[in-house]
Amino acid sequence: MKTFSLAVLCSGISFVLLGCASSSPPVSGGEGASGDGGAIVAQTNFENFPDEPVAGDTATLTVTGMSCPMCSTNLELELMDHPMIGEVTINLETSSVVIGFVGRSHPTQLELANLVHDAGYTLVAIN
Amino acid sequence: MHSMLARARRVLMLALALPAVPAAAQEAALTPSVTFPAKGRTTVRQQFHSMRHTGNGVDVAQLRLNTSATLGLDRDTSLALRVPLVHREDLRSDTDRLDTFGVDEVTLTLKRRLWQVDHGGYGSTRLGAFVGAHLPAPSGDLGSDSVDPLAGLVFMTIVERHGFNAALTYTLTTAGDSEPILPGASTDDLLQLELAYLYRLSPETYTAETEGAWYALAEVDVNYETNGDRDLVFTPGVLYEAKRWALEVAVHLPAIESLDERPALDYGLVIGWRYLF
Repeated sequence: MKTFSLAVLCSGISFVLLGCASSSPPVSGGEGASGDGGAIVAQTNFENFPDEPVAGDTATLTVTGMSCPMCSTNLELELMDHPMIGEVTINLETSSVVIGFVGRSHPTQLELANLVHDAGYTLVAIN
Repeated sequence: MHSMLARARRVLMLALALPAVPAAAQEAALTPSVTFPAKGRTTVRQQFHSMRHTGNGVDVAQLRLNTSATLGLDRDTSLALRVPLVHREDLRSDTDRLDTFGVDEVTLTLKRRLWQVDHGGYGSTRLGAFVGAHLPAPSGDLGSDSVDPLAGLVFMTIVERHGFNAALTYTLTTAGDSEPILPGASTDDLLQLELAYLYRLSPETYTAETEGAWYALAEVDVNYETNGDRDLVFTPGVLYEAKRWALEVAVHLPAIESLDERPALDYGLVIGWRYLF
């Protein structure tokens, strides 16, 4: 029984480790919907977000996957870490994230896509 | 008199430790969830458990303060450390009483998100896996001196106001306690199935002004040990989740107990909070 148990555990460990090895997050130009190795861990389609600065003093992001107030804070903290972002307002019901920029330099769309991705959510659009 | 003072002092120490370390959410009180702090962020969670077990000739009152810290390693991986501080009072007869206070087995867990689909506004369905181990208890009178590895799968789905979590864990016990109290503390392996349902009571719809949400939660914990012991504990409760913290209160209600090796749970109370740094 112990041998069987050990085998089950080893299988579990291998499962997790294989998962770790096969799903490094995309930085640019990824497929988005499916990561390497077939595991879907990100849906953001990075091809939709070029490495060009966002125009305007504010931007409204459509972000899915935030299911609770603390989830929105997780994203807010991630966005506020960016030196060019000074204000973040999140409406969970409409999945909208309004960000205000500081100064004349603005982050690129790809940077925003990566920030949302790193927080664990899906960036659908930037308006 | 001396023992009463000593007990009061230990309970006070536990109570004082509670607010000392204030941590993620849409998580149930007990069932693991596929939630992760962002890379480099930490959530801290504390849960105070009060439990009473009777049977097998013992009457055990136990206060546990579980403190967990979870660090986001990357968006899909987290490392969690749980440290339980325990005060246990064992009554084996009218005169044979044993007080134990100290740190029980520390648990280290590496969790990985394997799959996620976000649907609708705030809907999300995720699958993860975790591996870890219960490490030897620093206090010699509690737990075992062994490293007990564990592995499991965890699932989560959130649809509108409904949240469902499920976790299946196998713990390989390499050594154990000859007089176990909790499931998995014996010398035998533990297969644990945890199910949780959360219903968002308020607000009915989120707005930009939403500062927090109330949830009703119902959890079922099914334990099967390879020595044949099995039980099912129902845990209803409420959860309030603000933007950076959450508070939960729940009660353990044993529903099915078929136990030979350890005493049965009479009741349990859980009060916990989490803070996102």
